[in-house]
Formats: sequence, structure tokens, C-alpha cells
Amino acid sequence: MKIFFHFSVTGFSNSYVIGPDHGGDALIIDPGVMDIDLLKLIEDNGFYIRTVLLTHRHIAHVGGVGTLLRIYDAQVYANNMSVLELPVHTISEGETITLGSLEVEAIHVPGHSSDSLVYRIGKALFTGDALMAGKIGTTDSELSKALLLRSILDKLLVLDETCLVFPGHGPPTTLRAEKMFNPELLMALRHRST
Amino acid sequence: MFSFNTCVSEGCTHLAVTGSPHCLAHTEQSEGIVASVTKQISSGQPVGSVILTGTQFEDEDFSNSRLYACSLSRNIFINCNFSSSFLQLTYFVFSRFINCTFEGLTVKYAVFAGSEFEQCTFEGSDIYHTNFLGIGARDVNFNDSDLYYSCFTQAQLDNVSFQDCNLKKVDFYETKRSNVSFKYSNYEEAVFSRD
Repeated sequence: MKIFFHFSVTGFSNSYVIGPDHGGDALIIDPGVMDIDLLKLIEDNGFYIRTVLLTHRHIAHVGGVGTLLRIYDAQVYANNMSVLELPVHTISEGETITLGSLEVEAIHVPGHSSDSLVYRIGKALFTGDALMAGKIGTTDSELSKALLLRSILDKLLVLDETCLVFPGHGPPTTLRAEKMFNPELLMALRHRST
Repeated sequence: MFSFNTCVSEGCTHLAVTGSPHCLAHTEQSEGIVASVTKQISSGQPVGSVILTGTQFEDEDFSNSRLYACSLSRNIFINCNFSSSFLQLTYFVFSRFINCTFEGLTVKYAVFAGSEFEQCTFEGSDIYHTNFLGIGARDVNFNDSDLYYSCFTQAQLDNVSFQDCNLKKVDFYETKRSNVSFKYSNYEEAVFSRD
């Protein structure tokens, strides 16, 4: 499995292209923009995008889907009925998608948005805006923040701490590093243990 | 991307090193594996998906190396030279760097979280989207570097210089700073609080 990243300067967001070592059918997570650099990355590695996974429907993460679907005949998955008026296959907590040898599990982590999904492929977690290096996603209320923290603690921090975290914004991280140094998670873990 | 195969020794949770079903502590060919990986990295040829963790490198010349999606975590680097190297999606988590040179480095999406740096220099480097979460840094020089969108949250920085750096979107939330200089840098575009 190869993982490539692409940074969108319009939404300051990360997209990830995941495919087999020697090219073939691949998937993309959160195409926030579909530009020449991203197209070149896909084509130069001999990939054909068959699957589009959206972590949530904020424009920085879905803005390139329309253009992408004009180039590739791909299925779009999200925790929604539609995104940007494009039909999508709704995927929910615990469901899996198989693409070649890749098996993707969807984990529902609401709080930043009600439709936020984390995708797990082996020991790689694509966390969108739910969990980023040293911080959690922004929320619009204390209730949403509590929901997000509870979701992260109950569904992500229970996974193998050697998991690699690929967020929607900012640098990659690991689950162990987040457990040790993410201030919001440290506070939530302390609060839970008392 | 490197594989996530764990060491086959009973109860061991460490990743198996490249070329072995075991981690370095459980393989009988540890010296040969370390020598082989050192030679690969030093060659300056692109090196991808290599895993080598739990060892010590001393006085190695890794200048002009090119690492893609490698894991070199939990290692100790003493007097090593990474000048003019290129690192992409490479992991050095929970490592220790003593008197190492990273001048003219180009880094994209690398992870140094939890590492310790003593008397190291990154002067004149491009360090984009790189994770320095919770690092300890003493006598470290980042002068004249572009650190766009890198993260130093919860780092302990002692006598660290960020002079004439691009600090746009660099996260310094909850850092402990002693004798840290941001002279001539755009620190107002960095993040120091979550408000």
C-alpha cells in the first residue's frame, strides 16, 4: 500500500491518495481541490480513482469532488445522503468498504460536524477534522466538544497506539503521541479518571 | 508506505525491521541489518518504506539522503549529519538527537513527536507540515527556516532560536519556552493560544 498526500492551498487541507504499490485502482480521501498537481500525482503513479471517501462535508474537504468525477468513474462515500448535490453512498459506523486488497472501516466521530467519519485502513487512521496533531476539531458548542472528546476517547484511543494518524489539516501524527501530548485529550483523560 | 508487520517474537509489539520478521532486539542479524540500512541511507539514493527502530547511530554522514515513508523511530543519533537531506512522510518519533546537523534540510509531513534534541541545528531548512509535538529541545537553531504549518504543541524549548523564520500557522500552544528568540520572524502568524 502506498499513501500520498496533497496539500490544498485554498482550504489549507490535506487530501490522501491510497493505492497498491505498483499502480491500479486507488482511493482518495477528502479531495478538497482537484488541481493539476493532484491529477499528476494520481496519473504518475498509475492509479485510477475508483473510490472517494469524505470525512465530512465541509467545503475544504469536498470541493474537488465534482471535478474528480468528471475525470474518474468513482463511487463517493460519506455519512450523508448527498454532498454538493452529488449523490453519495451513505456509510455509517462500523461499515467496511473493500477496494482490491484494501479494507476500509468507517468510524463515526461526531462533534466537529454531525457527519464526521474517521476511516481506518490497517494501522492508518484518516481523521479529517476530528483529531489533528496536538488538537481536536473545532466545535460550535460545549456539548459538541464533549461529544467529540467522548467519541475520540471511546472509539480512537482504544485502538493500537502505534496507529498512524493522517489528519485533514496539519502534519501527521501517531495515536501514542496524541495520548501523551494533545492538551485537550490529556485534560479529558484526567477528567475521566477522577 | 512501510508495512505494519509486528515482530513475530511472542508478546513483542514492536514493528519488524526491514529484512526480518523480528524487531531489532529479537533478530540475530541486527548488526547486518543496521549496516545495510545505514549504507542505503548514506548512498543518497531514494530510500522508501524502510523500518529500523531501537538502535544507535554515531558519527554517520546522512547528508543528501532522501527518505520516503520510512520509520526510524526510537533511535539515538549522535554526531550525525543530515544536511541537505529530503524527508517525506518519515517518522522519527521518540528518538534522541545529540549534536546533529540538519542544515539545508527539506522536510514534508515528517513526525519527530516526543523526541529530544540537544545541540542541533536546522539552519536554512524548509520544514513544512512537520510534527514536533512534545519534543524537548536544548541549544537548537532553526534560524532562517520555513516552518510552515509545523506543530510544537507541548514542546519544552530551552535556548532555541527561531530568527528570521516563516512561522505562519506554526503551533506553539502550551510550549514551555526559556530563552527562545523569534527575532525577525512573523511570530504574529503563529499560534500561541486556542482562543
